[in-house]
Parts: sequence; C-alpha cells; structure tokens
Amino acid sequence: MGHQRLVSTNTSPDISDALSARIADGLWFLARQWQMGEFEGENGGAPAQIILSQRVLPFTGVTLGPDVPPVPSSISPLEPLERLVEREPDEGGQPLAWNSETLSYDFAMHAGEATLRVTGYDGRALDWHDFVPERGVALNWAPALPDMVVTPGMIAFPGAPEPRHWTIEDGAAHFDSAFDPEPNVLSMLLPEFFYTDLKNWVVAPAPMPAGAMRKIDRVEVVDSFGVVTEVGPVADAGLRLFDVMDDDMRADLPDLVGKVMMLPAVAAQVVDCDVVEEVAWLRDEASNLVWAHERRLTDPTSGESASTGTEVAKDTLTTAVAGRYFTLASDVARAYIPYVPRQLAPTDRGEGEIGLRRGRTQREATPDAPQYRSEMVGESRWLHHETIPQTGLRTRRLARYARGADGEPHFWTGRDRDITPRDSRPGREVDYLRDESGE
Amino acid sequence: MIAVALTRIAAEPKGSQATRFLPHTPQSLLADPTLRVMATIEGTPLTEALAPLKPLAALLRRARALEMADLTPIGVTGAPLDEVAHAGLWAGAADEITARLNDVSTGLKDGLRQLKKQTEACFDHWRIAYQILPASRVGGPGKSADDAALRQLCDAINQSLARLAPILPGGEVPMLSAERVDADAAAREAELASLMTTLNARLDAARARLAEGGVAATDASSLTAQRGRLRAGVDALRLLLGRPQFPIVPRFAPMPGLLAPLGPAQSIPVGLDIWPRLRSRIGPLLALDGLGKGDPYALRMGRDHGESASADDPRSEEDAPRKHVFARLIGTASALSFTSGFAGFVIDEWTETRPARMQPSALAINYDAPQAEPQNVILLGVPASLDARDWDEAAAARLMREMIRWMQIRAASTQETLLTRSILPDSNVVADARRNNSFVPRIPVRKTPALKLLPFFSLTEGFHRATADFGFRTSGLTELGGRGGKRRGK
Repeated sequence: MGHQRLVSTNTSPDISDALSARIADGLWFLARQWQMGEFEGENGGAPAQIILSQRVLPFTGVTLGPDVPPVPSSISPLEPLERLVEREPDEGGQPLAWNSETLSYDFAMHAGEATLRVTGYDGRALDWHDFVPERGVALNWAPALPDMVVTPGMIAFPGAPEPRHWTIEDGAAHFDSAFDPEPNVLSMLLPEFFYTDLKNWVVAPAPMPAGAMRKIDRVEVVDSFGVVTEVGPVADAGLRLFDVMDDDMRADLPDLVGKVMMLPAVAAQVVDCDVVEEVAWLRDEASNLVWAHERRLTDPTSGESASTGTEVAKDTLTTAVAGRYFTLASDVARAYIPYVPRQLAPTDRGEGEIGLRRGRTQREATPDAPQYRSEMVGESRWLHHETIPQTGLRTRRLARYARGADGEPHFWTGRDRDITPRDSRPGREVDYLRDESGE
Repeated sequence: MIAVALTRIAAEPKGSQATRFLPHTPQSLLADPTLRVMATIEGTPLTEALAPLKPLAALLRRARALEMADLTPIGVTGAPLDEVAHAGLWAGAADEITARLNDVSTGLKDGLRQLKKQTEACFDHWRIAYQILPASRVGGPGKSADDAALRQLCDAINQSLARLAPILPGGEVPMLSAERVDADAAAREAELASLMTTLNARLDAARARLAEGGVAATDASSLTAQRGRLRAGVDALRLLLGRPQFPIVPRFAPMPGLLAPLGPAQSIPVGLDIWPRLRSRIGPLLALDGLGKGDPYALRMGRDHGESASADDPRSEEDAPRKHVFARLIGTASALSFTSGFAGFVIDEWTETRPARMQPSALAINYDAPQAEPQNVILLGVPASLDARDWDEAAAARLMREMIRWMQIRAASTQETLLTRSILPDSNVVADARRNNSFVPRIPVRKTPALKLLPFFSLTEGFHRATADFGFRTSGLTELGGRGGKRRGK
C-alpha cells in the first residue's frame, strides 16, 4: 500500500518574470509619490553652475627651528617640503628644524605676511593639519584670480542611496539598521542624512596649486532657472573641515572664517631607505629613569651599519670570593643610556619643571669618549619630561628619497618618531642578593 | 659594465639626471634593428648554445662603443684604466679574432679547392658518357636537342616508364626528353659555378676588409688602432660566413690589474653617486664577479604603462602624471641611444609617485534643491483626438490633468471606516506658504459619507469642488505618522 501526494509549488527557477518588474497599476505609484509629498515643487532649481572667485598665495619662505625673529629662506614649490625640513646639514650635525628636547621638528612657513607654524612634526605624513597660522593671514593677499566656473556634481559615496528608485544600490555597503541604533548614534544619523539631506549637497571641483594658501572670496550658485545665489561659508565651526584657523584667529579675523585652505607642497610618497640610526626611548618606572636604547648604529667613517642587539653588558660585579653579595644594580649593556629626572631652575611661572638629563652607566665614559654612540642621543642632552610617553618612543635617522613635482629626485637623511614597536628593556635588576661561586 | 636601476614612477622627470628607459616587450625586442642578431638565431640549433651569450653579447656590443672618458668614472679614482692597459686588452681580443678568422678562411679555401676538383670530375664523366652514345655527338651537353639518337634513347626509356603509369598516383609519368636532360645538366653546372664564385667573392671581401681595417697597424699602445683591428676582424669573419649580423663575441683576456679595483662593490662609489650609501642591500649585486657567470640577476626589460593610459586620459602630464618606467644609469656611455633598446643588470627597483602641481580639491556646497522628484511611472499618452497628429500644449495639459485626477482617485482607500478624524494626529497636514504658516491638508479631507462619492467617478469638472470632501481615511495613509512624512511640513 502506498500513496503519492502532489504538492504545488510557487517557486520558479526562471527569474525573468521577476526582473521584468511588470506594473499593472501605474496609478498606484503616482498616488504613493503624491502621498509622500514628492510632487511638491518649491519653484526652485537645481544647481547648474558654480562661479568661484578666489585668491591664491604661494608659500615663499620657511624658517627652520624656533628662530625669533624668523629668518626665512626661500623655497621652491617643486621641492618636497619634507626634504627642506628634515634634512641634516651638509656639514653634519642635527637638522636646523630638529628639536632635540621634544624629538620632533619645529618650523614655520611664510606666505607673504602670513606665517604658519608647525610644532612637533614627527617626520611622517606632513600635511595641512600640522599647520597653525600665526599672524598676518589677512594681509597681502594676491589679486583675485579670474572667476572659475564649474559644473557641480552630487556628493556620492559607497552605499549612498541612488537618486532613482529603480537603480540597484550597492549591496556590499551596509549601514546599521535605524531600528536598532545602539550603541552607535551615528548609525541613526547617517541614514537620516541619506534620506533627508543628501540631495542638498553638491560638490564643486576646484583644483588648487600645491604649496599655497587659497582664499575663497565668493561662491555663486546658478540654478537651472538662471537664478544666482551667493553662498557663504558654513557657520557651524564643527562642520568646517580643512580649516587651519584656530579660535583666536576666528575671533580676530571674522572675514576669513571658513574661507582659507592650505595645501603644502609635500611629496606624494617618501621612500624610506636604509636606517642609519635607531633609538628606542623607554620609561623605566622601577628605576625612575628613561632609557635611550641605541638599537642600530652606523659608523660615520666606514658606513658600516650594525645592530646592538647582540651586545652584552660588561661584567663589573663578579668577584673571586664566594658568597652572597647585596647588589645595588646589575650591569647594563653600553647601548642603554639613562636619562635621569632633574628639577629645573624655578622660573617666573613657578617651580621648576622636571627635565630629563642624559647620564651614563659606564664609569669609564668621559665627555670625550662618551657612552652614547648615536647622534640623536648625543644631541639630546636634555629631554622634556612629557616627551617620552609610557608606551615608549622610537626615533630613527634614515636615508630618504622622494621625487619633486618637477620630477627631480631628492635625497636626504631625515628622522622620524613613532611608538616603539617592541619591548626593549635593559633587563636591569636593582636591590637584590647575588650568589658568587668564587671560581 | 652597464648597470641599470629600474624605477617606476608616476611621471616623466623633466631635465633630470634619470634617463628615460625605453622598454621592450619581446615582440619589440625582435623588431629592434640593433638586436636583430639575436632574433636570427632564434629557433636554430645554435639557439641553445648561444643563449647564455645573449646578454653578454648585448653588453659587449655596447661596451665596444665606450670611450675612455666613459670608463674612467667607474671605480676608484686612480685605478689603472689607462690606455696602454686597455690597448693590450683589445690587442689580445683582436689577435684571437684574427686566429679564428684564419681558421675559417683556411677551411673555406680547402673546401673550395675540393669542390672545384669534384665538379670538374663530375662533368668530365658526363661528357664522356655523351660521347659513347650510339650516334655521333658534337658539342656536348646543351646542344643535343635535335639529336636523333638521344631522342630514341629517351623514347625507349619513356616506353618502359609508360608501363609504370597504372601504378603511379594520378597516372602522371615523368617522361624524359632530350631538352630536359640537357637543361638539368646545364643548371647543375651553373649552380656549382655560382657557388664557387660567391665563396671566392667572400674571401676577397674579407681580405679587403682586413686590409682596410689595418691589420698591419700593430701599434700596441694605440687603443684606436687595436679597436680598429678587432672590428675589422669581426667584420671579416662575418663576411666570410656571409651573414653580416652574425653574433661574434670577442674574447677578452682577464687582466688582474683591471679586475682588482673593479671587484668589490664599496670601491665604486663614484660611478654610483649616492645610491649605495642609501641602499646597502644592492652592494653585493655590484660586484663584477657575477657578470656572465650563470646570470643570477636576470636581465629585465621594463615596460611602459603610460601609453594606454595616455590614450584614455586626455589631461596633460603636468596635471595628471602617469606611470612610466625609468632607469637610473650608473657609469654608462653618453653615446648610448635609449631610443633603440637597452640591456643591463637591474641592481635596485622601487616604486615612487610624483606629486602633481595642481592637486584636486573641491568645495562642498549645501544648496536646498527642490524636493520634487520625477514620477516613478512613465506616462504614455494617446493623442487627444484622432484628427490631431501632433501634441499641443493644451492636449498635454489635459492629459496630465486627467492623470492627476485618476491618481487622486486611486489614492482613495477602499478600506472605508466610520472614523470622523485621522487615526494619527496631523498626519495629513502640510504648511501652506501662501497663508502665512497656516496648515492645510495635503490630501483633501472628505466630510461627506462614502456613498456620496459616486458622482465623483464621472470625471466631470465638478471634481475640484468634490476634492475638499476627501479625508485621511480615504487616502490610504494608514501607516504614516508625523506631519506629512518625509517632507516634515515643508
């Protein structure tokens, strides 16, 4: 005995019917749009043309280091700014812009009367956000350039809703559902922006020369009905990206707020070549010290480069008499240079701050034959206390190469600063008992 | 030695020291006239034997064009790269080439002598054979077309050949004729005579080239004279072989006095400029010991990526730098031509990008564009009347008006309820700009019972008066909240 059961199915392997999206009720679509308010015109036009009036002020000079008053030297926009700032002088010694107490570069750029200062550049990815205007930005702008007329485009980004409902949207981009916005409030704000405001943002391409500041004098939008509207800068400071001015300058120079951009003439890519020196700077709370560990050194005469990783500490403790000895501190390899905290002399601002003074662990080291062998440690007799974070630092002197905007190759020896990539403790023990076999 | 470092950067340097490296795909390599020698030996039994010589031959071909001024910067200043040392080197190579030349020409002469002897013997036999034919023969080969005896002989052979016809494919039999026998004999003899003439001409040409190149110039201290000897020897050898492009590699004797200063990489910083100090890993590659020994560092050809890109992108190179392949040349001859191909050893390779002078930036502008959107359906209108061929404005407006009416009717819900007000407060309210911030229902509100809708469906002009009577519950907006959904009262 048996039976068969016939079951109908409503699935089909052919999806052509579904894809054809046949509509039997066009009026329904129209009615929905009407109900959603999509037919409500405002007698406004879409932006069809944007007219920009602008002035460009190229950078003409640079002051390396904290010189007061500044002594600018002229610069070329074709040379990478990194080389100008980082390179060591031909006759040797530390770069003019290098601050040996903060282990970073300080310099200032000049464009006409304007000065933009960079403090604490770490030798990596120099760009506009490093620059802080100092004075005179309002002065001496060049005459306005001829008006630039551009065609605006819609802002678009991966995952943004398509302007037409029948366009397939990007399935790879996923933004959190608006129904479950926790814990990220952005996941609620972003779709809100998509659906209510995205169409109100247009982009006007306006290329600018590298190595210059630009002031936008006037922006006029011509809409599709020919109506011309002048558009001002965004009032909300939080929305002004790429703004180099700080709050004080905004208060002093309200006419420039939101109108100034800068673009330094930096290299598109800096090729890091051989590392000449590498020093790790580490805090040692147990010893209340900062260690400068010279990891890699280069002999200036022969050019031979070597790692100090295999160096061992010179034994100064072992004695011929067996026994247990109290030991204040164990031996440390030569490559570890201690920096000892010292209170600086009181100043007008109050008590003296804490500075870090370079010391030595080898008794036989003298100023003429110092313990340190790297140039960077040699330059840094004092360090700012706050320069070395808990995580430690790594500074390097390295050969660098970049191509300028005119295609010329440029070489220099520069420096960079980074967090230390691996633990580099000296293995120092303090205040312990040591067993001596006496052999 | 020619060393080349390849770099791939995004633009062509203008007036820089780096020199453009023109790339070669294998096809273009074969098409290169200066490298045709290499192409000719492809696919011959010689290929395998000569393959290791290819890079060396290319290098040496370039090296032959080097001048003393080009050689001096390679190596430590003061290295014994003087002319006397070099002239000795070249003299040795020229002697060796001369020896090879003598071997080849001696062999050729011997061959010619034997060939001549054998040819004469062969045709002597032929003539003798003619004379013993039945009829009297006068004049020898080439003059026997009318000879009756030869014809008879041919006929006899043809008769026996004809018997073979059924078993030959196609039944075609190569019949003999007196003309054919004579013509064959004459052609063979002419061919051999021509070959001997050619070989003799080659010998003469080689001899003349050697005389012109100054074999007699034995001034050992003159580099020019020794180089002339070597070139003459190579040319003469090629003339002897009858192949003017045949690759002939001179053998230079190793000279300890020259190799020592050139050997260690750290001793040639002058020619390399700053590079070895920056890239220590290329040091071992610069040792000349590796040259020609198993070729651990393969000869590479660059490839220009910019050609197709420039076709796609019409912007100028200044505005949009494109990728090109460049080489940094170390200690090369100024006479090298980079338009015709180039061979060398890659000692370092890296990627870099040139910054553009004009960089892309943009302004983002917030501009309150009208919110109205195009409808999601396509309206296909039928002309208002059969007489009207084209649309006029009135007809189009009438069509649109009717469509809007139909749309409004479609918006009326079929879910009739008895509620007298909206389910969601203010869900059908929009601001009325004409009335100073007062609000009006977007969808007309119905106040009359549903049964009174009936006259509306007649699509009369009375519709506009009736629209004021449509309410929320007829609009189908049962799922929306807030003030008019998306527009938020705008």
